[in-house]
Amino acid sequence: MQIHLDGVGKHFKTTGEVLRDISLTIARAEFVTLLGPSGCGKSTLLRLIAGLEQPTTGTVAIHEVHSANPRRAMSVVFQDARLLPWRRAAANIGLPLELLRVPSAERAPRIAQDLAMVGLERYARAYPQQLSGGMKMRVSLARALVTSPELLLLDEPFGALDEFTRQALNDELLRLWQQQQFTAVFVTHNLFEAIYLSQRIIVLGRHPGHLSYELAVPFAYPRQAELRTQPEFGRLVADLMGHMERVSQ
Amino acid sequence: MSTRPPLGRRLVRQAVPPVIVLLLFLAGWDLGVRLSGVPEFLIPSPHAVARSFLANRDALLMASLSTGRAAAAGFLLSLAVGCLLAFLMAQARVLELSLYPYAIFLQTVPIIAIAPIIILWFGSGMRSIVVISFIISLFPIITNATHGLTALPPEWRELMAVYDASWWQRLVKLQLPAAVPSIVTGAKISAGLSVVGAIVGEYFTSMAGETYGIAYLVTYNADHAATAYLFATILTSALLGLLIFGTVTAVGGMILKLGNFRETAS
Repeated sequence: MQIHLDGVGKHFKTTGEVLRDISLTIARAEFVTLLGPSGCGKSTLLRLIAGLEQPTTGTVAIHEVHSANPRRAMSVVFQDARLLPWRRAAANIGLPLELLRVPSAERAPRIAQDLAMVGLERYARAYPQQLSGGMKMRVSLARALVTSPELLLLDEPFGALDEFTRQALNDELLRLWQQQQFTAVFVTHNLFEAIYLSQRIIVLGRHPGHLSYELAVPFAYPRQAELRTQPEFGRLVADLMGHMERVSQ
Repeated sequence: MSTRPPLGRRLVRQAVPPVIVLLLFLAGWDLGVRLSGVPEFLIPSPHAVARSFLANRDALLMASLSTGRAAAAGFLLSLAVGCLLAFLMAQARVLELSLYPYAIFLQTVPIIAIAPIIILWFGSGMRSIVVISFIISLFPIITNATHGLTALPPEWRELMAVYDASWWQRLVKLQLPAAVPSIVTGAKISAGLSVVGAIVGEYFTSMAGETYGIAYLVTYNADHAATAYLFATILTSALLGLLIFGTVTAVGGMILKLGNFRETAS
């Protein structure tokens, strides 16, 4: 699995030019974050990769897909948990498998394994509105991973959570990424989160959205919360902050 | 989730104020009739109405059964046809644009104007009554079900798009369950209307025969200045409407609760 964007631009009738000349390659099993101020088109870029939007100019190509069904190769975690209220947690997680016509005998063990993976075994029969925000996001993450995707796209998934839950889910996401070795493209405007999670950070500027800066994060995995207090972490924060300020003008 | 006080206390809290209003109203009515000396054929006392209600309970029950059966049939027919039309309109904007004006036509045309045609086509009996009840209760089902099937949050559509869901999968796994709350809302409005429709229908069909409905008792008692009986009949029609509305509300509420159907994402 390799993502290759070549000269990608996107116009919308209502908002005009949102992205201009984005060329970018994301390698297999890489963790890349798209970082930028609101309105820089980072979510649109993610949606272009997801195939939910088509580029106005340029091409989005996904090479070396191993799954037989290309739809199985990719999953999206959205800003909101986006669970269906009439389905219990287990049934919400099983939805992608149903849509991909996986026989029910094969679905049950996958769902059970997925629930355990995000630590929600006891909540299999809970309805979404009975779960906290963090638990809903865990279900959403489990739903995205139930198909064992090669590529996971995450669109500011933890933005609505409190700081502690966000940190817990960041750790959870990293653990799953190391375990399953999918390619992760993460969108956020939180630079601490970006540094903590990624191997590579791509900063987008505005009017219209364009690639502005790229930063390799040198820390090894597994990463722990203490990393955030290291001086080297602070240096990267300062570096990114400067760039963020420039592109937010 | 908020905790709710026990059912008994909630019932008492909700039921006591309207009961007090009812008692005050009945007392005022009784007092007014006694003091003013209005003749009973103009305004009967509550006692007279209650006496008539009890004395004619067999006839009132029989009329309620007849009207209720027509209303229930009209309601169920409107539920089935309304959902089907809504389903068709939800498939394509073209279909919605072509069908919706006729749904509005059914809603706005005075039923009095088309009743003779209906009787011409369906005969002067139960069938016409059901058809009129059906026409009157159809519109709320169509509009509410169409809204439920089409006004899906775009986020949910996107989720289905990520996994390339088929038309059938979208329908069964998203559209239909998402539409349940709206259909229940429409059904509750239609349930009340179906009784009105059945009684209106009865006015236009022959009222004599082996069975008779509420409308027959109303006209008969009005013609014979049996005002207490007339009031008792009106009371009965209100109770019948409440019964049908209450049944549909209870069944609808049970469906929503069992399936945990909600309109908003979480």
